[in-house]
Amino acid sequence: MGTPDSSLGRARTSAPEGDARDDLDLVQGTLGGRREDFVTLVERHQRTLQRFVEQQVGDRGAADEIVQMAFVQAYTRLASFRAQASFKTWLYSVAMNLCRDRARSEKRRAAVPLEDALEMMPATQPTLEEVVIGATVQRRVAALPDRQRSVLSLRIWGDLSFRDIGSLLGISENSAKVSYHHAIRRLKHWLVEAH
Amino acid sequence: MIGVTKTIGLRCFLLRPRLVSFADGTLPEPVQSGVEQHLANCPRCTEDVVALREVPAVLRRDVTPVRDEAFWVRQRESIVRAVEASASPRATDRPAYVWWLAPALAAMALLLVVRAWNPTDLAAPAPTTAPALATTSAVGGETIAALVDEPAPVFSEDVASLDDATIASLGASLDEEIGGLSDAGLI
Repeated sequence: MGTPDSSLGRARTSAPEGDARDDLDLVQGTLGGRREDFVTLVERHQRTLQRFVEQQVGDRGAADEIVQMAFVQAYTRLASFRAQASFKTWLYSVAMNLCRDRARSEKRRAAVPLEDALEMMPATQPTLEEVVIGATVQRRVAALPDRQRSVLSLRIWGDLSFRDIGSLLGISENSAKVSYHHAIRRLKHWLVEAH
Repeated sequence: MIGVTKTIGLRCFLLRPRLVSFADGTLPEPVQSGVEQHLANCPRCTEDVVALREVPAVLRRDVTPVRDEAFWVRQRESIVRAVEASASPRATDRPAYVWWLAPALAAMALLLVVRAWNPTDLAAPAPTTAPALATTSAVGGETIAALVDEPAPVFSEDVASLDDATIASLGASLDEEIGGLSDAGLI
């Protein structure tokens, strides 16, 4: 087991590289007192979760907060994780609820203004055209009906299977695919229209 | 509304989940060949498959923000600090149902009181018209009408006049033709 604090200190900057244990082992390790196992889970999922949440809320600063809250909630509620779905699916459901809470509190859908999109761009300078296209895509994704947007985001940026998406949203795998199909058709139409 | 509600053949409608898997390359061989045969004669579905391959690539390219490694390290540090400040997982564990159980019970009690007071008020009105597509398709046995988030399809065939049994048999014949539409064990 080891002393949690000393191992945590080591894991602060880098979780064990190439940890081959699956998520369930790491969950059990965390519940057994090894916080460094939780850090490995964070390292494993933070990138895709960040991208997913950014798409859901359309605001980078808010996404940073939500990702952190999602991991902390996942940690504090870890004992309620029943392994009926994967840890990743469960983590995303926590994050989705936080996104919904935020949307409810703000009473607005994240339509990304161009100036916000400019702020969200990476340090390496994109061309103005890239910025405009990026903002257009984000606006279009944000304008999709809720279920289509959720399915699309979970698939594209969360990299979840349709089966997991279905179980997370409480719909069938086929419904998830049909929603995805519709979202793609709409986006294709909008993107073609925009050019 | 937005140009995506053109007329659609029932066959194409039922095939949509398969097109998604086909575009992902995750259909097993017999089904894959069946879908390919359909695509050879269906420009609309072919167009969909192209979109299902191209649009995700565009989304990933244009929207995925670039973050450097330092950001992920900082984020982990921040999460670790928050986790350190929180209670251990076991200490705060409560069953997930607790938060909604109280209002649910209260609502149920209220419903019972109202019903006892005037039971006829709560009788569901008989449907005056049948839902446009309140039928069960052969696709994974799910109800098409349950896809409430989607625009209502406009079929090229006169689907409204078909009963459930006919729709089911159409699904079954398509199932046979394509080589299995049930998701179970396929994907």
